[in-house]
Amino acid sequence: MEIQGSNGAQTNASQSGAIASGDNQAARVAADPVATLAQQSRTGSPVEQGQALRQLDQLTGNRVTTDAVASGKAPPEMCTIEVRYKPVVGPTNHAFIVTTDGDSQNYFRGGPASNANGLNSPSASSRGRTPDGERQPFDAQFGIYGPIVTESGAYVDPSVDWTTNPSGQQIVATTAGNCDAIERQFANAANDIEASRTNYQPLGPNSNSTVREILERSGYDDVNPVVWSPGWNTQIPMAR
Amino acid sequence: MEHANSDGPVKRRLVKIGIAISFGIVALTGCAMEGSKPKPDVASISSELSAALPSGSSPSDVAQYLNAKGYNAGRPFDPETDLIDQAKMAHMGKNADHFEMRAIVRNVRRTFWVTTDIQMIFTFDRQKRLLNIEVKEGHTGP
Repeated sequence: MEIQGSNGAQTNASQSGAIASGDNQAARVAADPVATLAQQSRTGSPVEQGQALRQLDQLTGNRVTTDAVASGKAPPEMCTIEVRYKPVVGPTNHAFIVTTDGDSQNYFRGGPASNANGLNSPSASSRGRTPDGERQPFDAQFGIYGPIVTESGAYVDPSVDWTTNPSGQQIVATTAGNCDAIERQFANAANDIEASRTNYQPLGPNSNSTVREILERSGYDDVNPVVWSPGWNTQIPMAR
Repeated sequence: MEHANSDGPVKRRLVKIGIAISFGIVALTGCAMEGSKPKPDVASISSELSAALPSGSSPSDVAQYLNAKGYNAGRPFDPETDLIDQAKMAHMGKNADHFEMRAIVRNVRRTFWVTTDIQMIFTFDRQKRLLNIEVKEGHTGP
């Protein structure tokens, strides 16, 4: 698992080494980065305490929060943005975004509007939607998978991407406060992607392109997948 | 005598081929029978739900029905914890006047790249009365 830390509002993979220097530490940081670093800042050697405080600064984005956390006070609400992966075919994976704050966990994802193989025609329920939510008739120009459609909601057991055993998982950023602002951005980006009526293709543009595009449009423009996610870097043609 | 001796291996080979063909037929028949099992589809689930859960049904009614049908992903639905307040996701464009309960039937269809699930979305008003049931396919690919 690759861990990506935060520099205030965001960071990228190249900074992650400063946050997690070993596999065990990475696993601990992934589990609860703030609590782990807060404990190190109190109980570690002087060098470890200094390192932990610097890393807490990066995670919380400000010194006031770092001081509160390091002194053992109740940690402030944090928002964690992750990309998680599910296996699809062989070594390929499907990426989706999970946001977690104090009282909720939500997901953002993309996928094909239909799944026809020639033997089964696209059903009425698997068609694209107009901006006002009406289903659009199947359009042959989109082929057997239709355009990319996006979805968001509470990440709970019956949701489409729910898994307790992801094939990959990475923290994109951890920021102070709840996730409302970034979730609003993600939802808007997802709506724009769906409105672009981009033809889904298994090797891209696809669900992985959708996740990269949502992150990129929200300011997280240097995220690299930790497992093979074909189409990640495929651009989705749309008005910005 | 020589003729009989030379027939032996040929007969044994024919018997082996016959057995192999028989196994093949049995296997193919099994696959065909498996493939002919009726898979749930949007239309059949929609009509079942519409008949069983009229407008105004409570979350308990819905949870009870889903549990009875086995749409529970290995755990019983709970009318409290499985009822999602959409107001908490109003900033994501969700309707703040609604609660939602979801169920899913996974892997109803698969092509090489894409797997299809059927999602059931039950919408309730603020008084937790069933307003609408949407049944739709959801597709997962790379």
